[in-house]
Amino acid sequence: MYYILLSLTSECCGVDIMQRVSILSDGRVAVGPGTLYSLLSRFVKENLIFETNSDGRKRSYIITAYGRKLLSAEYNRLQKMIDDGKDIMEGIF
Amino acid sequence: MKEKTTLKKLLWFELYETDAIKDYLEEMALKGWRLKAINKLYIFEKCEPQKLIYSVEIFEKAKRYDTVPSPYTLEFIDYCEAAGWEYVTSAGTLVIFVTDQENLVPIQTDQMVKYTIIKKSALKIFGIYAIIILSMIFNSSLSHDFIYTITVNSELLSILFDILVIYLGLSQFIYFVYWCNSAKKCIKAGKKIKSLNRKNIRIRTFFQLLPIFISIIFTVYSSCKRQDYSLISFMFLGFLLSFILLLIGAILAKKGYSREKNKKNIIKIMTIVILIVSFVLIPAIHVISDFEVESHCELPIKLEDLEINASSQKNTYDDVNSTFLASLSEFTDSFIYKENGKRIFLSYTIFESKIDFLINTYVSDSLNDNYTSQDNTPWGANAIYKYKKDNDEKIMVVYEDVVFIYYGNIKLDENDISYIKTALGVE
Repeated sequence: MYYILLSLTSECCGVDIMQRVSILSDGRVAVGPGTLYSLLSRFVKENLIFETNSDGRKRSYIITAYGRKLLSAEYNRLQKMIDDGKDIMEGIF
Repeated sequence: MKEKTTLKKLLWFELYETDAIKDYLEEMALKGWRLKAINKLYIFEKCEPQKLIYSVEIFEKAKRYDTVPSPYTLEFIDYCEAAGWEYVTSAGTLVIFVTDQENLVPIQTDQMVKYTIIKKSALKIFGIYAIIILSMIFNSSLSHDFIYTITVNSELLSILFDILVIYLGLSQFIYFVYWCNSAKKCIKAGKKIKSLNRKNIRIRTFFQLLPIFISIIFTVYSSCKRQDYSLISFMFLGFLLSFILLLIGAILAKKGYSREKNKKNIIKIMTIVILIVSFVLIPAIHVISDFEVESHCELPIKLEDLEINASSQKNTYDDVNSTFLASLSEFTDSFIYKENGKRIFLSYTIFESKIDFLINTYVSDSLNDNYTSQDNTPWGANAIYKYKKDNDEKIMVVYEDVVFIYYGNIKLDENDISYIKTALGVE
């Protein structure tokens, strides 16, 4: 979910999201096409993203203001987790 | 001999057994059979034995009766093809992909998403089942004449059908709940959702189909043995309807049905169905129902048998219903003397069953407060109940397998009783 929303901070065609996620995560995260298709439909329903363009079967999406808010909350949560462990981890290594 | 190049297999999988289909297709590819299409049957074509990886997906937006991909399905296929998967075929909500690359990203990378899709699709089917079962229960609550039900074959057959549908629905539902639980446990433990293997599915299918086969064989056997035309015609109509439904299925498959694409085709097919029903089935029902009028059972006791000299202008009514559980025969013979207008009548009901419970139920259903228990002689029965109303007399004689209820204004003497006992076969 985090990587899909990150990919959609700029307009992107549904099919290209998989590639974008892979580039963003440096190949560590792979999202399957079936999972992506289901999540995109769910995100549109939950108003996290919206459809910008539909060219035949190619549909493009971009994040909504509400989606951006959730993404930022998730980013802060992850950042906080990193900060929490920072002192200990840096002390060890 | 010409070598076989295509292989057709009838497979029965539930929606939550997609992994079992995947395993089966991979096994077949190793044996040199590659899936080509699904058209009710799974159609394979000969290929070099190879290691292939299949992915069997449920696509929520597809409709159950789609035989060609809808625009939504095509969009889904585009996603999967962009990820490197090769589209094989689709049937209803199933979409099948294949690849020979071992490290390709799976189509479903999130087990929770996969679980939700399967659960939703399966629940839709159970919703339909629930509606059918509820309407059956409502229907059976309308007709509650127990004795009528156990003595008329078509009634028994419809109850048998109801029980089978409920059995199938419930057994699948119990299994589905079990699958949901184990899937949730797998997700919690961060593992892949497990599904039954082929062998277990075979056992499950066998136990689900067994009662259906037994019922069909039993029904065909008992109706042929008894030469019960009403039951045979009932079954004939069932087979005819099933055949028509299969034919419609085949036409839809050939036309490449997709709800979004071919609305016009559906209108055409529905018109054909209505025409078939009105021009073929309705007259057929009339022709077949002619068989039912003729009774094939001879009732033994008439006015003449009790030495009443009745003229030919007497009124006679008889009705016989019998099933393998019980039989109920009703007979009335009446005659009015021209000279004094006095009516002589004889009416009786014979209920026969080898099952004690049914005999007891029939007796307790028929007994009312007017009956009083009577001396057993000369009937030699297990129990006798009698009640008198003016000159008319009603006697219920209960034997082990037979209940005889006499109603009439002829005083039965010992000879008559002896004759009746012989006719009933209880002497």
